[in-house]
Amino acid sequence: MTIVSGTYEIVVATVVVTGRLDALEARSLRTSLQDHIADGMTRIAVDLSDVTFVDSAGLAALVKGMKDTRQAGGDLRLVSPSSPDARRVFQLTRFDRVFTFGDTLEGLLRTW
Amino acid sequence: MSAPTEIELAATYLALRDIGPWLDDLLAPLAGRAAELKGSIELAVHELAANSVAHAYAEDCRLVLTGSLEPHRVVVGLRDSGEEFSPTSDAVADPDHPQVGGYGLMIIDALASSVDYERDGDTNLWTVTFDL
Repeated sequence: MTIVSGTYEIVVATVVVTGRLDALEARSLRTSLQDHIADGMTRIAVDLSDVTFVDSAGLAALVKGMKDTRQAGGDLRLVSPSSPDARRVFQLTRFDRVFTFGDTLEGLLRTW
Repeated sequence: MSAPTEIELAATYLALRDIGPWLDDLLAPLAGRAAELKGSIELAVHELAANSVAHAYAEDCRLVLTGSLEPHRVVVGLRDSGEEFSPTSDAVADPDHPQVGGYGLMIIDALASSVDYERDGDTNLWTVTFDL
């Protein structure tokens, strides 16, 4: 019998968004996510804990990132917004059932 | 019932950030309830205006929002002189088949008590109500 041991490291890119994630800022987020994916980072954690407002454009940027990372064998997961107003768009569109959420970045990273 | 208030915005996403403070003033007479209601109303009105910016307009055009506080509801109107609104396939919230975009009108419908659209000549007229 031969026993071979090794270690495997999972690398997760983290993106922290603060303030308003609206149509104005969604483009920057989309670019940031696409840059990570182009660099081979298919596991991305987006920290929304300090986001105060999310609209459908902000949601679309996150969904695009999620679909692209999942297509590449990874995932995009979210730290839940603290603000009820920022959580609202996820609840209305039922994306609160599609994304994996964590209460903290540390907690979210442990889901991988 | 309050007198209607009006705000004119450039048809840009940056200008839409004035909607929140405008709603703060409109809803101020509601005192404690204003904070409770503002988030929902702001998201719906923001989505309506963003839809105009995205689909109806050239950058140098203007949007006009009107708001009134009635005893049992808030009424917000939006008019623009952009292209006629034409509802194409709207997104359906299906967690098993997530779409990237198209959720704006669904969000407005979910948050508002009623949504009405009318084309008057060259003007799009939207009226959205929120029951108190």
